[in-house]
Amino acid sequence: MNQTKTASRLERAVDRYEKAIAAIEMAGKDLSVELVLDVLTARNAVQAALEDKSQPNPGRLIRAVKELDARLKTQTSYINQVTKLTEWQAILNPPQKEWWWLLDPITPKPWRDRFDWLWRAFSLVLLTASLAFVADISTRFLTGRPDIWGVFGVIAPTVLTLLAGQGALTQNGREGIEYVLTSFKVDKSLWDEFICLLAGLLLGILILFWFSLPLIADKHYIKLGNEAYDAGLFILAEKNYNRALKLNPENTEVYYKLGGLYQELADYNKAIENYKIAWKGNKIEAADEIASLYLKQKKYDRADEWLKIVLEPLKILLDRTPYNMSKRDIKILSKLDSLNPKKDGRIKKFVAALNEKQFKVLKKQATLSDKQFDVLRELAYVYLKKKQYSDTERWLYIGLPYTKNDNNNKQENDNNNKQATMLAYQGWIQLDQERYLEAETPLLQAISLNNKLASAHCLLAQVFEKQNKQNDAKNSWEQCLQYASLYDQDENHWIGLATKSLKSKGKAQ
Amino acid sequence: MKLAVSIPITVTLMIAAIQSGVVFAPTRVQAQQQVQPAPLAQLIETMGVVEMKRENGSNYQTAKVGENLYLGDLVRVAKGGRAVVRCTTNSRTWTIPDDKVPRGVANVCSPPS
Repeated sequence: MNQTKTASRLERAVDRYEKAIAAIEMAGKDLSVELVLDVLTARNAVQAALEDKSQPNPGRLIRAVKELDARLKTQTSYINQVTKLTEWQAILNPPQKEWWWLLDPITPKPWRDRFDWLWRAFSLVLLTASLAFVADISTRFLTGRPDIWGVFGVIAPTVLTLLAGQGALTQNGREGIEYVLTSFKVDKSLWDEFICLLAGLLLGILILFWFSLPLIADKHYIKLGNEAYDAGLFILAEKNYNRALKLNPENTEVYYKLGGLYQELADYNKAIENYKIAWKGNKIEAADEIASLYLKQKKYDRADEWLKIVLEPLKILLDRTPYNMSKRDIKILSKLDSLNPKKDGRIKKFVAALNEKQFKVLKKQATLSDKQFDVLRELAYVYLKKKQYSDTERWLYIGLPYTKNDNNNKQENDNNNKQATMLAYQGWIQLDQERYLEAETPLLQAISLNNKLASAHCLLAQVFEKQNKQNDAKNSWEQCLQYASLYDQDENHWIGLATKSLKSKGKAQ
Repeated sequence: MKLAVSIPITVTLMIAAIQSGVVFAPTRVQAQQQVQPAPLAQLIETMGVVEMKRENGSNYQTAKVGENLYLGDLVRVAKGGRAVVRCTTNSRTWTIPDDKVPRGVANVCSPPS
């Protein structure tokens, strides 16, 4: 009896629900609020009957409820046209499970929402690009122990990108972004555009940061490196220079500085390695250092090769005229120190258009730097001692004219040592080759330029002695003794010769 | 009134300048002292005939103990004599042989390059 009563309750409720739905369907444009409320309350009754657990619900009726719910849902748009369900919700306060009170109005999407997939794709592309920049920036900063700039440089872009990535790509992140956007009252239809804009902004910031890396390198790390170098803190200087290079590998000046640092630490191979990169990057003076370091390592062939490279412009000035210069000659001559290196493009034109007079002026003004001279002198000396006289002469060919220019350009008292040394070497070769008469001239010239040059006096004494000019030899030996030093290998030997010769001359007198 | 104020100021400025190392233009003597090279050595002992010839001198003259010796100076010691010089830079002492052959101070006392 009770079972029949319950079954009939659900049956009655379903029947009522069905009728109410049919009424809505029949009403069409004449649908009223009352009909809507009838159907919704009928659904309430169905739910109440369903929840009555005191008896089993017949499957037939449950199936009917499902079909009726589907019919109700198809009426959603009509229902929402007639009344705002939100207002009834405020009055009746239905629980969430009573979905029929929460039927959303089906509003047409704005046209731009049709392109949301495109914005999402853009966001993905922008975030991928951002990630690539983060990876690049991080690897540059993560070399060695990162400092404050390094920590900032790694953490800031990484955190930003991860936040943006999480927001765009994960459900939790999306909810977070939606929360932020809702609190900023951004229209829901613009969310994807807004996220894409944020991703673009992030990429923009990263690009800006990436482009400012050379500036950070130059203004911060090179400066720190220089300060550390000046203070003798070479490890710190090296660290900062290396960081500067990571941030701006194009800055060849840093390679030059690193070369200097390794040279200071007597790590010549590393120094040469860095100088070579600097030289390739158009740091011309790096070649001087390379030649000098090879010389220090007693790798004379390599030192010779590099000195040839260094002094090629000067050789062109000696060997060529403005009328027989090749394109290569013009290119090489443009690297001449005395020409302003900043106007490289214009210099090539200037060199190509040189007339004879200008060419001569250039030739007369060109000089050897101290470093270049030292390498040249040392090489000429090494060849002289090895009796490779043609190689010594090869370097004197360049050394003699350009050290003469040095004398012309400088003040009289500014030490004529360079030219005097070259002349002494010339006399030395001639002495070795027993060309005594010839040897006198360059040696006397050397002495006239630098009276304190012991080698010239000592060599001249030997030249006089070989010619049996005893008085001249005696005077020259005395002058040799005036300036010669035991600490110089040749002069040490000559001191012995001088004392021996003077002793025998003293006895003879 | 102006004069009374400016004199003390001028004097104060002059004193301050002198105290801070700002000096007036060097006199000729001071200038000569500045270009005078540092001695390479000093003659610390002599016995018998010890002679020296300055860099630009033409004759030998008797050398005395305490005499400063410069680059280019020659010293010679006659048979039986004795002369000892002390290098300025490293205090190395050098006894010049008594063979009357001149020896350059630079031979031993010029620092290695």
